[in-house]
Amino acid sequence: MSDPITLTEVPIAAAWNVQGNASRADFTDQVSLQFATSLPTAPNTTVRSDALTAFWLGPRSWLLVAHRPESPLADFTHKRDALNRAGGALFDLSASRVAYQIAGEHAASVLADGCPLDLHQRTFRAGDCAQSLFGRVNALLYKPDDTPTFIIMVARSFARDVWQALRQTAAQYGYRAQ
Amino acid sequence: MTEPFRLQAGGIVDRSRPLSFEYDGVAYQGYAGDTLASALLANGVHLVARSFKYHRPRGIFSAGAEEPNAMVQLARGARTEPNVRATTQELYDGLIASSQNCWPSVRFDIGAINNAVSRLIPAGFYYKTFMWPPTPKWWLRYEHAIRRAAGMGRSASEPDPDQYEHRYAHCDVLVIGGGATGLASARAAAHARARVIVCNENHWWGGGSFDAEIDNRPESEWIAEKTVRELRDRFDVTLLPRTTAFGYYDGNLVGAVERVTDHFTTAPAHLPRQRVWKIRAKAVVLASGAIERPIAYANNDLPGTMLAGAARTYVKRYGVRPGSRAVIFANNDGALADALALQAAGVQVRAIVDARPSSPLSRLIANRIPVFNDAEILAAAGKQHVESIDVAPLAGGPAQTIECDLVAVSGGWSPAVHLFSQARGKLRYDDAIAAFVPEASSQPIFPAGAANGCFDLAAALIEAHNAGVAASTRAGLSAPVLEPPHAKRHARSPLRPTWSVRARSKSDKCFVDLQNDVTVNDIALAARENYQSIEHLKRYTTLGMGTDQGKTSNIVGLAVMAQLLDVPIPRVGTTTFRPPYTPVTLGAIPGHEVGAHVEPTRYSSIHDWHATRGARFVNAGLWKRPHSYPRSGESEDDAANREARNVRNHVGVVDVSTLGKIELQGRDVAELLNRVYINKWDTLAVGRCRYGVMLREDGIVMDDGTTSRLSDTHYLMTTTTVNAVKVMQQLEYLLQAEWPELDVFATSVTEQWTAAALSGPNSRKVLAKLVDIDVSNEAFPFLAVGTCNVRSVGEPIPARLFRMSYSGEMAYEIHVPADRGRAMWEAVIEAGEEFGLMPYGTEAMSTLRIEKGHVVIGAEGDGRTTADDLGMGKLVNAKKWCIGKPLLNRSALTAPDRWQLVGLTALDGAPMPRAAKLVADPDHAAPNPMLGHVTSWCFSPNLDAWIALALLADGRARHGETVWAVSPLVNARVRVEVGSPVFIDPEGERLRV
Amino acid sequence: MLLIPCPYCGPRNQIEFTYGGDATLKRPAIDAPEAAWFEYVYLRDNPCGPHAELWLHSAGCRTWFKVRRDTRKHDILASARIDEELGS
Repeated sequence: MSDPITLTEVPIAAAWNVQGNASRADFTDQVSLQFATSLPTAPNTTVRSDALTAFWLGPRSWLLVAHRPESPLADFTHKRDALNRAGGALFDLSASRVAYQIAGEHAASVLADGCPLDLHQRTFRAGDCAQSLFGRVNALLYKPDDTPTFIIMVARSFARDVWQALRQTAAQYGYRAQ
Repeated sequence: MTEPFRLQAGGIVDRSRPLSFEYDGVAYQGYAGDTLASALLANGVHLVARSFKYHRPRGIFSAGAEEPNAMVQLARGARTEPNVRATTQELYDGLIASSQNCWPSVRFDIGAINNAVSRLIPAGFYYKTFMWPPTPKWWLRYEHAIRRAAGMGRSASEPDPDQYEHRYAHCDVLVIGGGATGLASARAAAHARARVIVCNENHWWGGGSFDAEIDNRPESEWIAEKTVRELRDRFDVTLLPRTTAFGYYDGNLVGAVERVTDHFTTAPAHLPRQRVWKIRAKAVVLASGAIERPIAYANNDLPGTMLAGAARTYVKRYGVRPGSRAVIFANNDGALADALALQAAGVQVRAIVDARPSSPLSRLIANRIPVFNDAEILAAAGKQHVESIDVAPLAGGPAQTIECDLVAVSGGWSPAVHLFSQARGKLRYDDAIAAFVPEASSQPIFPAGAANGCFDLAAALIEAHNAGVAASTRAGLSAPVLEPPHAKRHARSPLRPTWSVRARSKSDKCFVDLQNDVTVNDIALAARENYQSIEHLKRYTTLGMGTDQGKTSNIVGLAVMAQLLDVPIPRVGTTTFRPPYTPVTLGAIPGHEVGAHVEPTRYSSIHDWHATRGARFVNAGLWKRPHSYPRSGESEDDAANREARNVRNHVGVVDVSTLGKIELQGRDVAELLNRVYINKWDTLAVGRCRYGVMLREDGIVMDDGTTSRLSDTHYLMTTTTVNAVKVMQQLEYLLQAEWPELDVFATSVTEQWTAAALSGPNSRKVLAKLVDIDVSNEAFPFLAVGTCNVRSVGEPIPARLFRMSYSGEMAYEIHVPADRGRAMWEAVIEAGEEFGLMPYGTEAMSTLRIEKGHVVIGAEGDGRTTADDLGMGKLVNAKKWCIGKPLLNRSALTAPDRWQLVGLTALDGAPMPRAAKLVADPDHAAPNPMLGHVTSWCFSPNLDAWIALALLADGRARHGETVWAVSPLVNARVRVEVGSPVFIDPEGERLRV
Repeated sequence: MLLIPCPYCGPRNQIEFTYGGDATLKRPAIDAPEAAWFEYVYLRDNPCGPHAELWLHSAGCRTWFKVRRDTRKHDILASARIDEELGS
């Protein structure tokens, strides 16, 4: 088993849900003012800035995930009020998801045991994200780069089950858990 | 251990890897690459089964998935499996198999008495005979005996020890079939840069032909050394041997099952036994080949009778002689070539009986093998093996007996159109090959080669190549110019449709369906009794209803019926093919969703704390929640009572993280709440919360919960645990589809917050120690909402604080981000110690809310109750519209005898029966008129009585009356007094102190 | 298993979706008579052939959208955003 799978829990420092109408300038201006990022408008794509990654969740909804504890995802009340004034919304979901990274040659096969998405490199490229299922659990999948590496985010209460399922499938290829 | 029928050389078996196996207690040897069937034949074992109905001796009839006879019981103990086709089971070292459907042994089977009395048990016998006497009980008695005598194998009685998994896969082109045609299609698609998956049901690559040359190489070399290797190494092709495509579903989804470890003596623990692939293909090439069919003559089921192509397969693929002296009975050129292959392997071919007139090929052969043209086999004879056959001219005349131990039969070939038909493809009857062939499908499925009725290898390769190109084009790819593989064309003489031979005597058994023992006579009986359409025929005679689904028999049965009725075959119809193509092990169907993994489990962030404190858990939706925390020597009930008493007397804390939580933001949240709740919301101030009830569109209560106003534009709604998903979906629907003009954004935050409810007269004292805000009654009154920090080990935890009560006591809810949930909980436990704090579970929580008369959606709110039924009619705001209100005034919902919420107290010291119904007279004859029913019940440790909430007809007017709660199932009855549902603190004073 | 074209995410497996019923229903005005509400809540056509339906991409982008599905053949004929006209 040459290329074992590596399973890693990726800590999420902060994750906020921004909602609003991306065709309205007052909303997008406020987002870039507060978070120094633009929002991806193409479905299932991300915009990555130095401090955070913005995930497309829906036509009016995005997830901002901070790359480190010090980030623009601070002073929630103030930013919520600012976005509410601009016709948008801001929700703190920092603790609601757990993220796992699956890396290695067979990473896509491990995920294919529960996820109906086509994760082939031709169709799911670096920077793409998608919400789908892993088993019966809603999951947000993300491909950070060109290597066979995926990040799966699931709701905290399901994380224990998902971690166990990932390990069971990864065992076919040999894996290290970190 | 010798294998007397193994050839010196030839075949794909690996002679350097001998394998030992055991069949019916006898040890044998085979080679790696063998199937159980080929290994048995190599050892001269032909008699392997007894037939289903007549218990006649049966042998190995085919060399593939179509096998109707050779089904065995594989392995022992928990891994034993019945009805395993010996023709597809790969041999492994230590394999153990036994014959089934026979007793005491396959050689001497008591059940064979059925054969002697077979005239007494014709088709439909069971249906006709056991209808009397016409009461169902009798049938049940008969059925028991019949089922025991009927057969097939035995399933394991222990739990399945193996793991199974499911895997999604996606491709541009899925090729079903691993023969030369399938590989030619895969090659064409791969060169078009398509992502390709090839499903091959066999453990070897290659199909039904053996001796051809492709692109000037021997066929086997073109397949294995060139094409398979090239596809695997140079292209984006996934090759799946041992994988049967069993079903074709909507949207070009193909289900396939891969036998991952079924060929291992000991399977590695980390591998699943089988894997179900759910393959979503942009286009499918069906190169599933064709299935040879038998000809019905008397005793055509004797061991030693075999399809001609199968006989050749055993010789060429496995290096096994299936007999020593053979007779071929055929109606097509292919079988004549099979005869030559048998002869070349040292089988003495004693005659070819060809139903056709003399042809170029038969003339060519005639100088080496005696050929009977325009002839048929009338009957075979032998005890447990064929010993001779009688051949006679078609035109009639005396029969000639020829001794032999192998009859190789070919009535022609039927394309394996099963998956094409499942894809809603239409079939057409092709007279030239006397078979149904694919015509048209609205799905992108491209049949090629033998599966398409094209039996010449050279033409099939071109057709397959073109199908691969067409499938790639359909998948949006452009194929480069590539020469199709080349093979030599063979001129063929036409086949003569031959289904059954002329009847010799009435007692002859000419089998059509070997697995279900259906004969030509049975079909004739069905025709006489007017069961003439194929759908009636199969149900009446059980034709094609065995585990082989009539792969070799359906077309023969159709043709025999058509002959009897003197109509063309298509007029009789063709059966509908449904998944699965071959049987799929039950374990593979759920995959790993078995046992504890049928559904995912949700855990609160405090779960491990609960577990270490000895909590007993209950399921609440997908969640695990603590039921109670029994101390050593304490029962769960006693623990719950102690916990409930402690809340009323001191203070308790319960994990309420599972409640659904939805945050709403925007200028129009209050308007939305007005529309979805029965009560009014525009008056809710920032920093306050309120209870609300939601209705369905039809006016029935859907859910309840509280909503808090966190800022001018930010609200938090809670839902019940079980309805969290439903309420969120409903809000999204309303905001997106019905009222897009409302400026409201919603998101579920259930997972963000861990929530603890602190309840009891000492709750404020605990809280004052714990948080950094003033929690006096003046500063933080009932229904107040605020934010604070919880002192804990490490950083203070930012929290939301709510003063609301489910227990009826002074109570608070503390919400903190879930990653700090456990730290908050432990801080609460520590702060509460000096005030007598105990954690409590759902059981005590339920007791407390029953004492307080709080309803639960799912118990009192049972999908039939209105707000008024539950005593909350006054909450329905008269001045505004809300969902469900327009239908609330219908007469049935306002009738005076509506079942209304009441409280019940058991009299006479008796316990309240579970789920009791309420009646006036417990001795009334059944059916006893029902006045209502108990919805929730408990022993109240605080009242020292059994109490209940119930729905009772006109209940509010009956306070003070006595009725009976009866539970006929457990023969329990108790007198109960009707009263207010609020047993404790009806004025609500404890909440507000 | 259907392949359902979400107007935002493209074709996705049926298990990601939740069925929402007839898409042609029009919610009555809030002061409409009881009979209109009764019809809206209870009465449904059961067409044999093309049927306009609501689906929620519940495991995906959480949008409600319209699908035209042939109830006889189970073919998906068209899909559209909730505020768009559904093609035939």
